[in-house]
Amino acid sequence: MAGADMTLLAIDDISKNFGKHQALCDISLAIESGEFVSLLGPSGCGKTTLLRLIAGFLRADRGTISIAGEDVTGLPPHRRPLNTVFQNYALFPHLTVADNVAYGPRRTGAGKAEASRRAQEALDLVGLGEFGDRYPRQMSGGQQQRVALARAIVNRPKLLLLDEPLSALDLQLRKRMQIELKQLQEKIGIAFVFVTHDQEEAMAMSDRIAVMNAGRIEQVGTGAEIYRRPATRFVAEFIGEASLLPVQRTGNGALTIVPAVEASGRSVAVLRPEHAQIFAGQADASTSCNLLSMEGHVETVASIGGVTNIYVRALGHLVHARRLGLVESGLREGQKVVLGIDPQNLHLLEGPQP
Amino acid sequence: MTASRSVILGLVALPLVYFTAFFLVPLMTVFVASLTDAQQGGMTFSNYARILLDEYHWSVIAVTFRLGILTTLICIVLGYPLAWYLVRIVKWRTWRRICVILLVLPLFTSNIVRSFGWMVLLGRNGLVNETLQAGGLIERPIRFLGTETGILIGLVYILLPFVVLTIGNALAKVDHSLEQASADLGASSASTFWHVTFPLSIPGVVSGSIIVFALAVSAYVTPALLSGGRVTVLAVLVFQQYSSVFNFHYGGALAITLLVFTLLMIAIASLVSRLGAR
Amino acid sequence: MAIRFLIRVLAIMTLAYLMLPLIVIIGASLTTSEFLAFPPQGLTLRWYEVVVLDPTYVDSFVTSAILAMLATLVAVALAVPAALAIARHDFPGKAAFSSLLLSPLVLPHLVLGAALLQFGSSIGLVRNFSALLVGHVVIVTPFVLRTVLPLLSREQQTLEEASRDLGADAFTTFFLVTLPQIRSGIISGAIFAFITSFINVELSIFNTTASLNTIPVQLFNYVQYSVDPTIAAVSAATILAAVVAIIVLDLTVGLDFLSENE
Repeated sequence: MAGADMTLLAIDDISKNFGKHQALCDISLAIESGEFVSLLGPSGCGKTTLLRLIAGFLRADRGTISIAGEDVTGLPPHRRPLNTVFQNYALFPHLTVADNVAYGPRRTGAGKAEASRRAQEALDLVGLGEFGDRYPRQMSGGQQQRVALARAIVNRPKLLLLDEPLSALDLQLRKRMQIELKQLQEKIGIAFVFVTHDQEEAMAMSDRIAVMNAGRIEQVGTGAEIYRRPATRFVAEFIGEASLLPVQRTGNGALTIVPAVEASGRSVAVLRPEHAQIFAGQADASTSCNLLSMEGHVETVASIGGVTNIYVRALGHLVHARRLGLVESGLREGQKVVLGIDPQNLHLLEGPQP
Repeated sequence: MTASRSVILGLVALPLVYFTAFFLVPLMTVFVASLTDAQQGGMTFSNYARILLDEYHWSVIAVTFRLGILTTLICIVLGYPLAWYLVRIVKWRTWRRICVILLVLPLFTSNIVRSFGWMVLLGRNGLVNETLQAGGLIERPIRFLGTETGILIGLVYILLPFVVLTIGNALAKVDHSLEQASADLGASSASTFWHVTFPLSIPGVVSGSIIVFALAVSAYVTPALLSGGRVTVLAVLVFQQYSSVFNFHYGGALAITLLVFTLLMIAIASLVSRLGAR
Repeated sequence: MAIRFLIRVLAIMTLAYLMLPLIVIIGASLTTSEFLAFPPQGLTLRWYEVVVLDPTYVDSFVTSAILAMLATLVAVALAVPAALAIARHDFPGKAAFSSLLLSPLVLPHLVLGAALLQFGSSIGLVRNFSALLVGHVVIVTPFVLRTVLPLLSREQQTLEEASRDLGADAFTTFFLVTLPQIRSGIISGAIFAFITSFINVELSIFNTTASLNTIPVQLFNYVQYSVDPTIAAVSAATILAAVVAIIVLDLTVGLDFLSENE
């Protein structure tokens, strides 16, 4: 029972079609109080549709949504104990910033004075206490974003939905807002459901991430979990960078890597670039015991600031390796090398992979 | 810079000359004539004094503006629901297209033709009276022709499409996410309408009202046909002076009076809307 | 939901109100009786025959058509350069220039007609075709200007610059890049201009004579004294012409301007 009390948002077997297009298929997800969960996926994966279903702007074809134990599936948006930060902010252009923020309290029964006091509090919280008299169009993108945030938290919802709220901001500001947003969330203790297509953003902010693809949730877990142990090939390729290598087990249970030409129908091992070691010759590779080794040649070397990406062609696979710092020993394109991989660092996706 | 200047001159010269010669100068001529004494020449305000110090003229002005204001109000009251219906309720594109064509059709038809239709409908034995009598609502035919009511029906009819189109345009531009934000913040649909959608459609209401008012107070054909000479509006007086009395001085003063009152009302309307938008 | 139903009913009734007089006229034009009757008593096209065989109607119809066509052509020739100047260049008095060209939209046409009569009589420009044309150009030019201006957007300017960059001179650029972009604006503006001129009474009435008459003015004079099915037939013919014009407009530029862009 204690666990059930903790569940704030419960999504059960939700499906949604638009005409013939299946936007969401059997989605289930539970979110706890105070948790920061990101819905992460490429555009068209259904993450925004799911958010709009939770908010009540769309009705599901099947399934239920409940918030704090109450079934809200049939409730219109204004009866749901949650608020939304819209992608384009959706600030009312005909109202001042203060009136925008006071809009929620006014509509839900607060008096004028009470509403403006709470609006002021919320604006102070996002650092815009001085700007109440302005109109949204007189403010910068980052400020508008904060106003939208203040407006959404002023009603003290149990749950805040954020639809790619940072996507319109430039990189510098986006990084700063990520930190501010996370701090704010911890301070006010509201659960956040955060839609984004930016995995770094999701990783930086979330307690848990739900990776979505083609209307389904592929995996839910902490950032470290989905990076280290991706549940599906899609997650492995979408989160971070990875080389996917077909493998088979030998008689003694050890893994060997299968050449590209024999790849179909095999299990696949996920290799992160930081786990691929490069040696000048077989002898160097043998010094470390238990390494899987493959001979190959360097195809591309690309240094980007603090890291160097090396692409090695081995057994017909293009394997991505990464070294910190500029590569000193002068790896050249075309040079013969040996790849060494610690099997401990391979994450195995069992069963025939497409 | 010089190339650009000659390009601008080339583009602007003809329209500027044309509108100066056949628009500005004629209007100035009227203005000057209205300030000139008919007999002696020389500047005088007597033409205006004749209008503004006379009870009859004030009653004509009052009728003109009463008709203008009532027409505008009724157009908004009838036009807003229709615009809402077309933009928000109709889902079937073909039907909306047909509706828009029906709406624009009257605009493409002469005022004469449309007023003529009402002359037939509103006559003693016209369809309206016959229907009302057959329905037992009235015993004797109501006189519409030659009354302000008749003119009002005709003016509303002629100007309604303008309001529907401008309000409809404004409604179509309202961002749905604003209404969703309002619902999200706890407002019911009625509350969302009053606090978000309606305020955002006000520019459309105001610009529609300005067009309707300006056209209603300066309308000549509709009042002339539906009044049967029994109700006089300002435009009718102006026309009489120019076409049969040939008094350009007094007629000019009437024309300028009509112009000034129209522009004044438009200025007030746009001022009110600008204050409202603050 | 009850409110939705109410709006639906009100909207349909308002649409019916807008259609009623037009239906009455078309119906009345088909009556076999010698007087106007609606619903029509029997159906006949003989009133149309009477109209077509009456040279005064035919003449004024032709006058109106030529007048509207010429006025539209001149208006396009004035409005397109003006729109280019306003959208693409900065010059002193730009705001005044554009409001000068747009103000006939809100100015009472009757006042303008009176002004042109008074001014025209001082230079001998009265009661002839040129006098009619001069006035009609003034009232229809704003329609073309208003529909062309919004199409001369910033992005479009980039296209023009790209064209110049690729070696096209100003004239080539205008015909190959600018004109195709504003064509729909010119077409719809021209149709509005044509119609506005074709149905005008307030301006024409000062300069028409017994031998030089436009169709709406002739109708107006006629309607004030007698009302018979011939008038209904002429009116019905102009309604049908309007239907044709609207369908052409809908097919060329589309009238779907009340759709929300989602």
